[in-house]
Amino acid sequence: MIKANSRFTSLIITIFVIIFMYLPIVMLISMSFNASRYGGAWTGFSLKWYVALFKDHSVINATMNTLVVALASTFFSTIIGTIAAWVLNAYKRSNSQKLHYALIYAPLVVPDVLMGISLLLMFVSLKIELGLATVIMAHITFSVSFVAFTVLARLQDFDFNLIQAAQDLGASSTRIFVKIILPLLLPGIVAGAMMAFTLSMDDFVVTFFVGGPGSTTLPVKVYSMMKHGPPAIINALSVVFMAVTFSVAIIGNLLARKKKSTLIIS
Amino acid sequence: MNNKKYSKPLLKSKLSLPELLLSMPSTLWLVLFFLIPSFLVFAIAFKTADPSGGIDDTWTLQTIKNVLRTEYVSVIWRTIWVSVVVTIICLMLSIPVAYWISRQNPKYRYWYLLAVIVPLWTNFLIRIFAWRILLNPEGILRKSLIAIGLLPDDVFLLNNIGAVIIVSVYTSLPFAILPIYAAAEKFNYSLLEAAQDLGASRFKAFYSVFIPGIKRGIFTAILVVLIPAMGAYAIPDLVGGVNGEMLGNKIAIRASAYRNLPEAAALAALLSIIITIPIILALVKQRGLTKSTLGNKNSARGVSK
Amino acid sequence: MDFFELGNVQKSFGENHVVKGVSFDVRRGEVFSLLGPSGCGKTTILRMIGGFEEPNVGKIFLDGEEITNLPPNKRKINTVFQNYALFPHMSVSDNIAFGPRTAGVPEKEVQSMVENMLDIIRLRDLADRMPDNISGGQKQRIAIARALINKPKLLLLDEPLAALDLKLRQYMLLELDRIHDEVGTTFIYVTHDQGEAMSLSDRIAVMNNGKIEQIGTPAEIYENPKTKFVASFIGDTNFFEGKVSSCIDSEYYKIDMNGLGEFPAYCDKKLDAGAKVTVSIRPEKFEIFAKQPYDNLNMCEGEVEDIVYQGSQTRYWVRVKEHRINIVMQHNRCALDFKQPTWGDKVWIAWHRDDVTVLESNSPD
Repeated sequence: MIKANSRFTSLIITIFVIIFMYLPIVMLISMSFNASRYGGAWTGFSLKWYVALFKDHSVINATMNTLVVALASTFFSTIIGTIAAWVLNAYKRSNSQKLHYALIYAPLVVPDVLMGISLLLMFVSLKIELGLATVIMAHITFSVSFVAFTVLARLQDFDFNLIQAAQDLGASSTRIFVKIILPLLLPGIVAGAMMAFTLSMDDFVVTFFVGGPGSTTLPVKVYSMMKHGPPAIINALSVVFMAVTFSVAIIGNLLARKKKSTLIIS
Repeated sequence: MNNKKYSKPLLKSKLSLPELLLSMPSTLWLVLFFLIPSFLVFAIAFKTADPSGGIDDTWTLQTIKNVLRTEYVSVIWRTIWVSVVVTIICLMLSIPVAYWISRQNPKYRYWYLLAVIVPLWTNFLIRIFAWRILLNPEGILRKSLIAIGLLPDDVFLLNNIGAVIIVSVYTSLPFAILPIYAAAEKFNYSLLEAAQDLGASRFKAFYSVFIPGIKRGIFTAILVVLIPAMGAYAIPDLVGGVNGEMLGNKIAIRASAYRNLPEAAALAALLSIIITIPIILALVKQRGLTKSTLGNKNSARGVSK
Repeated sequence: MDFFELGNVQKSFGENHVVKGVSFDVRRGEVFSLLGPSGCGKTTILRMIGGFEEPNVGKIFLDGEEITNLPPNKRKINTVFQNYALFPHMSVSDNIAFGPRTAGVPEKEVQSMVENMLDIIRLRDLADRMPDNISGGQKQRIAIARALINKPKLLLLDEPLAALDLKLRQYMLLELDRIHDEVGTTFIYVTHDQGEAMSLSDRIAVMNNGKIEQIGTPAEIYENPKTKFVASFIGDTNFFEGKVSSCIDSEYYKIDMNGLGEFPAYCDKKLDAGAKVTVSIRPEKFEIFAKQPYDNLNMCEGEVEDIVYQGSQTRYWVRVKEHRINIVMQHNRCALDFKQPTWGDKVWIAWHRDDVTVLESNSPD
């Protein structure tokens, strides 16, 4: 009775939270099939907003920009972040690495608005023209920390006796790197890269500050449509966007699980 | 005090060449694109704006004076209390959810947790947009609330501070649940039984044993909800209306529409100072925590000897 | 009515019947043990007594009051949990003070109660330590103090020594005994370790498969087990299947032990001629002779198959036809001074008819 009671209260709250989390998304999806132009009342099923969406060149452009920014920033931040994680782990007793750690940690606790405005101020002071390049640089900046900490977590579980075992069995340094270190760290690196990619796709605030005329990404496009455009198209755009990020996330999750199980088997 | 003695031989103070080279990429990048810009904000707050929307070379105190006008004081105050309220609501919802999930069969916990996180896979702006649809004056929610008499028909759900709070809670909640769940999963639930066995009521056992037991998780949750809430821009901009503006909006408006970068910088400097307070508190608290555990380890070693 | 009574208690979790109708009573001041293998339902019984589970059927009485459905915080019963369950964020003295403070005892009184408890467990200088930096045996004593400070009518101990190493366990057994003598509280002690139960308890209930097999004093349970399970769970033994051939007098029967021959055995129950029985003889009840002894003993001839020297004793396995009999010889004198039987020796083994236990034939395995 006693336990049932406290679990009952927490169950009620959990159910409430689940409804709270999904209600807006369900509404959004259903509204994207609504024929009415301004949302609100339901006036019938229609796919016309999806048709309109795929005819809109600015949307297609924004999608391309988003992908370019996400791929470029993921590529660079994964490299920088992985190296950072390695050195943080390898020299964890060094005082300079404590500073290094703090430097990598700090961007995580700074709100997007502050990161956006400070980068904007720097680009303007240095008279760098705002565009795709500045957006990519900004995205690398906030992604590096996430990659570094994701890989670092993996490294902390890494059994360094394996390297000694491989040396003992006569493997060269390159062979050790290719056959031992890389395969064991790869899941961590992939997870870090996935994280960077998702963060980049998701970012609106920083991009809003440091972007220029030619660098409109999908979130910025959604924002301007929300402010000025026909609302019903955004419903459709949102659902397509959501479908894409969902499939990326599901694939990522499946990959992560597969990696784990193969690791256990081997 | 004793730690100092220990720390000397443990820590290498000289940088080796490989360490230096490997630290280079991330250090250079973050110094250039994070550290310098962060300090630049404070410097530019003392510069004058040039008419074309850039920054002039002359220095002034006028911008700072402008920013401390009464108009901003109410915005600052609102930013703080809204963030605190959002954090409290998030904690009140995420502690029971984390408790519930952590008491389920381990086989299913992953799926329950996933169910809470999946909405995060939706783009941030789209999540806000979804709320605009839900809270729409013509939407089902408002109409049905009015129909069952829970809502007077002259009350709107959108474009007010309430909407800002609801949507902020919505976007932050998974981030609060994750660290609290991580702590709750490790919690030794026989402690709750022990407290009840010693005469504590269910409620007393919960707040005197469970809450202190997961305090690290709660602590992380506060940081990951409070700081982004203080820097919120998109949410108040899209669902807050005129009376829902927060410091983040003011920064963005000064930086874009009005193109007065020094004023934006001054506001950003102010926001930096405000968010530094909880961060410093957190650091102090964390040091206290690690210090006490260090002390524990030392004395435990003493005992075993 | 006894001080504590458990009446036909049953508990299932879904399809899983964990406790299948258990009754026993405990006298005031007694140490009563529930002994059985893991999964036999003993911990579930303890949790029902503590109020953490409710029985599906049955009633529980303490000191004349029914407590079956009372929540744990309303029972004058305290528990020493298996892994101590000390609150990690409270110091030792705050842990001990938790109960009285919750009950609203004035702080000054709480302090003296805590000091008194610390004296009883002899850990006065640990008062301000945190539970993370004290040893297992100390945690154990603090958990006991934290429970006893509430002056419970009944103290439940759930495998309290399971997490300690052997030396510490032996020391803590003596400590528990001393603390029990000092406070005089009634203890119910759950364990799977027969040694702990034997040395601490006034009475033991041996459990198997959700049921009580036998309740009795340690000596009764060892010397006169009622069922095959009890005989094999407590100590070592040799089992022989057999058949009652005839009744000698009211207490002795002639039993045909398959292959061994016909021997007299003591049994205080009425047995019918021809009934199938299982007979148990403990290893130390046998004696080994090089030649046939003249005593008035039951005996037969066999061959030594295996020997394990264990210091204070030697264990032999002697083959008698299809039986492999486990025998223990104590060395009360220096073992080197005597010629010991060795591998392959033909020997005579003998036992007294009073040392044979005839078990209930329908006992479950």
